[in-house]
Amino acid sequence: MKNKLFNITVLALALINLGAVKPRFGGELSIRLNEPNSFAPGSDTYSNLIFSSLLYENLFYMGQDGSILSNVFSDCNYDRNGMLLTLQMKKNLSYSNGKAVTQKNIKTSLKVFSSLNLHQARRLNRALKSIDLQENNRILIALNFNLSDLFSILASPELILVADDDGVYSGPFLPLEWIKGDQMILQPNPFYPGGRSYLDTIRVHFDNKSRDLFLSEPKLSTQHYHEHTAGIYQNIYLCFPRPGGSINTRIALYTFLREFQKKSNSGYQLLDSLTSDDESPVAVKVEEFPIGRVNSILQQSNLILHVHSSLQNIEEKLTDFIKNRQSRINLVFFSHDDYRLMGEIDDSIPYMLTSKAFRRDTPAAEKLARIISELTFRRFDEKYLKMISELNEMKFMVDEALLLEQTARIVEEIVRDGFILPLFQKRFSLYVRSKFKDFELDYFGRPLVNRTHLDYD
Amino acid sequence: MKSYIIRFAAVFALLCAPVRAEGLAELAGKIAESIREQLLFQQGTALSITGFENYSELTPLALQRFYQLIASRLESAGFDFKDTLLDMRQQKGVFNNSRVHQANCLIYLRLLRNKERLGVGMALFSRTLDRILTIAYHEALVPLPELLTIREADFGFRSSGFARVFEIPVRKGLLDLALFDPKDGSAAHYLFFYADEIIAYEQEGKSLVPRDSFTLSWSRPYYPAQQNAGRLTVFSWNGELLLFAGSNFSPQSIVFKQVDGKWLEKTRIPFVPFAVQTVNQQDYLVGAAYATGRNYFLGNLHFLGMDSVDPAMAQAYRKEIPEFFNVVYAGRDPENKAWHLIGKDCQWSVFSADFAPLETFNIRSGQALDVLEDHWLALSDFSRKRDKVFFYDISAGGRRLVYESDIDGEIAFIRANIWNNRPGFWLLIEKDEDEAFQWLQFWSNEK
Repeated sequence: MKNKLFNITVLALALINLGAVKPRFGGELSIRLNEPNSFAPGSDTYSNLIFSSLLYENLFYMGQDGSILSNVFSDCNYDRNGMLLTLQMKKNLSYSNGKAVTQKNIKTSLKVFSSLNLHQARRLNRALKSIDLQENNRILIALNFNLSDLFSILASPELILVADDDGVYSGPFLPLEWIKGDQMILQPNPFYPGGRSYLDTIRVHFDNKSRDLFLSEPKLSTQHYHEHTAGIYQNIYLCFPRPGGSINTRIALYTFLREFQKKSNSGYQLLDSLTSDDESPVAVKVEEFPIGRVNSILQQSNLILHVHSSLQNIEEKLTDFIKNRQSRINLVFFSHDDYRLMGEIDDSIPYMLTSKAFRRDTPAAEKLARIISELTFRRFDEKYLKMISELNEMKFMVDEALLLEQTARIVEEIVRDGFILPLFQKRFSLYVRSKFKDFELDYFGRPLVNRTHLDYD
Repeated sequence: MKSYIIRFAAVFALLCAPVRAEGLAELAGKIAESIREQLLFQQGTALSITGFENYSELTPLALQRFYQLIASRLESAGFDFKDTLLDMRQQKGVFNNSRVHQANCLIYLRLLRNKERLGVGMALFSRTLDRILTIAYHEALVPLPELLTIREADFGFRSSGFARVFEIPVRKGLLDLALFDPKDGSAAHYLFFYADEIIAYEQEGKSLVPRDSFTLSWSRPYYPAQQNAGRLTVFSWNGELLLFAGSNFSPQSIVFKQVDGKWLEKTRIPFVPFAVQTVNQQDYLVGAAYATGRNYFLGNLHFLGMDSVDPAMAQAYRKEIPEFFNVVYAGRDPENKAWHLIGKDCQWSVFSADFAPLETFNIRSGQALDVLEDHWLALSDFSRKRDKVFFYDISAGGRRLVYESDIDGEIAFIRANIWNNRPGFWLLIEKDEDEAFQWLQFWSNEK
C-alpha cells in the first residue's frame, strides 16, 4: 500500500498569503548584511544564508511550523514501502534569463547538493539510489533505505536550483548593481517560480546604519520596528586542520582570540561549549595562559591564521588588536565560492577561524553531527563515522537521561581530540520596519521577502 | 432607547401623514416656481445647477434628495435640466464642469437653517445675457419627523437597493467569468476562467453544473505571479463567436473561435481584451497588457481593428493612460460616456471619450470595478481588512452613491453579468485564506 508521507500542492507556498488579494506593487526594501565575496551561494553565516536566499531558489522550504513547501513542484509524494519519491515539476518554470528549468536541472541540483561536504548532503548521498526522469515533468527518486527526515534534508538551505550558466539565478531577486564596499541593488526576478516580488528593488547595504531590515542581538529597543526571533545563532570556532603542532601555540592563540572578544565590542559572547552553553551537557574549559605568556609565544611564532571570508567583518578590529599586541599573526582570508568546495579544507592549514550558523531548536545531537561532519576535514576515520552514526541513532532516543549521557560522551571525545575549540557565539533577531507587511521567516530564519510589501492602509 | 422611539415615531408619522407637499418638497416647488416665473414662455431652456452649498443640518444624502426634487420639478415644468452633480463634498456640490456649456441658464443654491425653518437662497444666471436674472429666497418648516423620515427613507432606499441574491462556493483560483449565450436555442454557459483551464457551467435551478472544460496551454515567456489575475471576454463578431482569455502571467492572450460547439484556438494577441468599441464606424478590440506577474495594467490602451484579429495582425493603435487596475467605458447617453479608471494608486478617475481627464475622486478605492448597463457602477473598497462594495448610479454622467454593503472577506473581482435573467454583478469573495474555495456572489437590485 502506498504510504503518502507528504503531499504538497502547487499552492503550497502561496497559500500562506492567499487571503491578501490586494497587496500593491512598488517600493524598496533596504537590508543591512555583511558584504558577500561573490554571488555564489553560502550558508556558513546567517548573513550569507539570507543573501543566498535572495538569489537562489530552494527546491523545498520548511515553514516555521515545520511544514514542507515548494515553489518548484506542484505535487510530491513519498512511498515509504517502495522507498520512492515522486516529484511533479510545475509547468513553465524558468531561470532569471527566461531559459526553461528542465528535469535535468533538478537532477543536477540534487547531485550537486548530495556531493557537498555537509552532514545532510552526505546522508542524502548515501541514501540516493537513482534519479529517473519521466514524461510529463515527473521525477522518480529511488532510495536505498528510508530516511525518516527525508523532507527535512530536502529543505536544507544548500539544496538550491542551480543553473547551467553563470550569472543566472533562480531566486526571487537578481543582482542589478554592486558598488563594492558600499551596497548592492537587487531587482525582482520576473520568472521567479514563487511569483514576482511586490517590491521594486532591494538595496543591500554593507554598513552599520539602521535599515528596513537588519540583524542584531535580540531585544533591541527599536521604535517602528518589529522584532522577529530568528532562532538562529552563529558560532565561531578555532580549528586545527593539520594534525600535530604545538599545543602551547594553540592555547596561546585561543587565549588571544578570547581576549580580543572581551576587549572588542563585536556583538559576540564567549562560547564554552560546542553548540550552545544553555543546552550543552558538557562545558568546554580550556586552560588559558596569562597574557604575558600569550604575547611571548605569539611574538615569536609568526603564525598564519586562515579566516573564513564570512568573518571579514571582524578583520579591521582583529588586525588592530594584533598590531596593538605586537603579535606576529598573519590573517589570510579564504572563501569557498561554491558549495561544491565547502568543507574541503586543506588539512595542511594549521590554524583556522570559521563559523557555523545553527537553528536554536535543532536537536543538539544533529548540531554535533554537523560539527563533526563539516569541521573534521579529512579525518573521516572509523571513529568519526561511528560517532556520526551514533548521533543519528540518538534521534530515536526517548530516555532523556541516556540522551544527555550519550551527547556528553561524544562532546568529550571531540574536545579531547583537540581539533576544534569553540570561541564565540552571536544570537540574532531580525528587525523589520513596521511599514512592511506580510513579512515571514522560514524554518532557518530566512525572510521570505518576495511576499513582503509596503503597507498602504 | 430614545432614538428607537423617535425613529418609530418618524416611520409611524410617515405612514399616517396625508400625502401632501411638505418641507423639502415644498421648498423645491417654490424654487422651481421662481425659476418658471422668470423664464415664462421659455420652456425647453437648458438649465443646470452649478453651485450648491449647505449651511443647514441636512446630511449629504438628504441634500441629494433635495437636488433630485428640484430637478424633477424643473423637468415637470418643461425645462431641459442638465444633471451635472457628481458628489457632495464638505457641504458643497461637486459638478462636472465640462458640461456647463450645455446649459443656457445656471442656478446657484444655498441652504440655510433658520431656527425651525429651512431656507433656500437661489440665484439664476443667464449665460446668454451674461447677467443674473433673479435672486429668490424661500423658507419652509421642515418638521423633525420629516427630517428623520428623510434619513429613514434614505436607509430604506438603501436596503431596497442592491442585495445578494445568490452565493456558491467555487474552486480557489477563479480569475474571471463570462456568460456565453449561443442564441441558437442551446443552453447558455457560464465560462469560469482558471489559470490552467476554462470550465463551462450550465445553470440548473439554483446551482451550476459543469458541462465541459478545455485546457489552456500558455507558452513562454511565462511570468509566475503571486496573485494570478485574468480577464475572459466573449462576444460574436461577423458571425463568429470569439473568446479571449488574457492573464498577468503570460504576455499573450489566447483567442478562441467556436467551431461545431468546441472552442478552438484561433490566434494570440499581445494584450488582454476588455470589450469591443465602435470608433468612427469601425469596431475595435480594446484592451491593455498586464504588467507581467503583477496585478495592474500598463498605461496603454490598445485599439485593435476587429478585422485584424488574426495571425497576420496589424499593429494596434495605442492610447496612453495612467497605469490602472481596472477601466470601463460607460455612460447612458453618448455625451455622458466616459472612461472610469481605477489607477495603480487606487484613485477613481474619470476620463472623457477622447481621454481628457475630467475628474479624480478624492477617495481611495479598491481594485475591482465594473459597470452594468451603463447605469450602475460597482466598486470595491480600499481596505484589505474589511471590504465593502459600493454601487453608484452613473447614468447621468456623474456618480451618485446609492448603496453600500460590508463584505465578509475580500473582493477579488466584480463582473457585471446576468443570473436567472436578472442583471447584476458577480463578486468573487475570498473569505478565509485557509479555505480551499472562494465564494461567488451575485448582487442585483431587481426583485
